[in-house]
Amino acid sequence: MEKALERQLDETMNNPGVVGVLCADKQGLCLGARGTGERQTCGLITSLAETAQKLHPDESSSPVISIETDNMQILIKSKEGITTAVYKSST
Amino acid sequence: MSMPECRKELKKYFNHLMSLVEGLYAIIITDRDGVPVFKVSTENAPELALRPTFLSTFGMATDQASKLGLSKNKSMISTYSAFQVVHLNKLPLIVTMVASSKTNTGMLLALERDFDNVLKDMRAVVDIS
Amino acid sequence: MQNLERIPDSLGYLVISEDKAVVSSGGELENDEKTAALVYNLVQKAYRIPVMGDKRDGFKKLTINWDSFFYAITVSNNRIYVCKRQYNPQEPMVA
Repeated sequence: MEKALERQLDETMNNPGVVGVLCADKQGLCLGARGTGERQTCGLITSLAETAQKLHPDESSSPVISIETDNMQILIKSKEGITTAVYKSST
Repeated sequence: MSMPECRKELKKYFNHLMSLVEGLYAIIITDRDGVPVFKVSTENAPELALRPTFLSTFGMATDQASKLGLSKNKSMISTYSAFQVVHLNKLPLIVTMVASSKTNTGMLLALERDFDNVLKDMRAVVDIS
Repeated sequence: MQNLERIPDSLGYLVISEDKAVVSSGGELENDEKTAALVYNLVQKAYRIPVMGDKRDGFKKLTINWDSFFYAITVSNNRIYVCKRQYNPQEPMVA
């Protein structure tokens, strides 16, 4: 039943610069992972997305979180109970 | 470092881990019989879940789970209506985390990496070899 | 600390110390301890995310983006610097 998700993750990996994808559910458990995305990070990204949402006065709107280092950018977004993290390499 | 200083440092470290995960009520490290080696808990933790009689059940459960043909059992997550309990098999030690059922389970599992450093030294306390 | 106010489109700023105290603040984030506590929590978690191939220094920049504004967060000298800025989209944020 995860075929559609697996296909979407593979498609995402084909985008230029993408080196990893992670999908987590509401409880922080891993739904799917590709490339540099490690399964143990799923709890962290869900927790990050939940905390970030509290920064907006209207707590129902979910932001896009970007974590940047010298060579990598991680983009995190939560929608309908699923949190996704995309790892993009800038090199 | 003297013994009481050691305990204080450990307690500080574990309390820091507890503050990282909302709804984590207790972290207990025991031997396989449930005898506590180290424990940190808040007053929200259900008393019964901190007792050896409860903690020792994982010792038996992990043995049985390892016989399912999937190789050694590493961890177990038990969910109840108001709580969840995550056990980690680090024999001869067992790590038990008691949290609210709404707590981010993934974060609890991610704490395993933090325990490994501490457990390396604690293992010597219970090792009979 | 008034340098943070001079950031273009700045709506507010916060500087948080390592013991979660607000060192200075201004604009919409003036004395906003609630936001400071949330950002501290956020930074603690973001630092734990392993970023492959980079030194274990953690991230350089953390941004939280909504439709009309965003928070730009960075850590330097054991202090967390937060700036709330207007977002005028020229090109869409690809996520």
